[in-house]
Amino acid sequence: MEVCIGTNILSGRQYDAIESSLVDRCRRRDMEAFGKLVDAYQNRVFGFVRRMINNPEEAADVTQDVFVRAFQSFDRFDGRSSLRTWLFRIAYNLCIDRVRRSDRRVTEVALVEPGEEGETMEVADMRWQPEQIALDDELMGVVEEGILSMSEKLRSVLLLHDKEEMAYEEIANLLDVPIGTVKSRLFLARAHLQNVLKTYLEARA
Amino acid sequence: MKADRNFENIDAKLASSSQKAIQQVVESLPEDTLSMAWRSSLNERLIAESAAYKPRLRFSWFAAPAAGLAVAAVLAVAVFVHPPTAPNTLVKGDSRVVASAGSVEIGLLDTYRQESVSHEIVGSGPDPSAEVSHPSIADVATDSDGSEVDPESL
Repeated sequence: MEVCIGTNILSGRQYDAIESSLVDRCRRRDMEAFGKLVDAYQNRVFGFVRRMINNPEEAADVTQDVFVRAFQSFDRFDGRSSLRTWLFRIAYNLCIDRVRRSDRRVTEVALVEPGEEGETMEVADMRWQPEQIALDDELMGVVEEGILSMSEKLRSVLLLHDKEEMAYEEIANLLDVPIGTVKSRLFLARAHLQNVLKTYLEARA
Repeated sequence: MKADRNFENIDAKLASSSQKAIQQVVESLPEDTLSMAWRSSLNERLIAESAAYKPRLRFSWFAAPAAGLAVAAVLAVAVFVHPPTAPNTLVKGDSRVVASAGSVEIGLLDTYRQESVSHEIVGSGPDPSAEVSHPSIADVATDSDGSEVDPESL
């Protein structure tokens, strides 16, 4: 794993060592150390929260709440999970609380068995060639809309795996669900997004 | 067995080209950035939170010495209320008692006993206030008949 902090590209082991010392300092409520942690994660956490809550301003507030909550409860961070997992767990919980509080109506996809939908997945469609599609702003907008139209369960797994590049085990630990559930949710989320894009491309053609 | 097959099945499906393509699309979504104003606002909130923890730290230097003083006070009270008592009866010649009690205390007790005994015997015993005349070196050097005594012969 390679991680980019500022202008330095660090190996996984170097990053772990830096993170470990950063965590120790944050436990002692070192503001400078916590500032570095915010620098490293603020945009990623915001990206996740913004896609979980369909309101950028509200998402910015929730992202602040994530870091304030982390600052308050850093002495309870036991180090069993990574700092990233811990931060995203706080973010996920705050997003779910916010979504449940606001009476927002989201078009959710039905949770169907992977086998049922899998049969339609492999149908060759010449118009659907993702590697050749220029990901312009319009298409990105469609993708964002497609992500927002999923249930929170599917959306969180899709974003954590495909955007944040978390492992299945890490997501299962974060969401407190079995690995099999993570995999099936990821499959369904991608299938849903594929259907959204297919519909868009068909309409455009 | 069935569960294992389901796992293999879902793994194979997740590894399909269409699923991988969607993964790439999601991965290429633009990175979100937050404004400096947002960061400034967060810093203010964090400073306010940090200040809430300060009073606790302000009294932490006082806590350790105060605890030490409290322990010392408790020990002092315990010593004054229940002072350690020396054994009441001492048997002369009892080596265990001699070993357990200090030699100074035994000396003091002996002196006290001798003094009290000397007061009880009326008319006899030396008067502690009377001057005792010690023979001088010159007296020792001369015999009763006045002849010189050879120190080597003694």
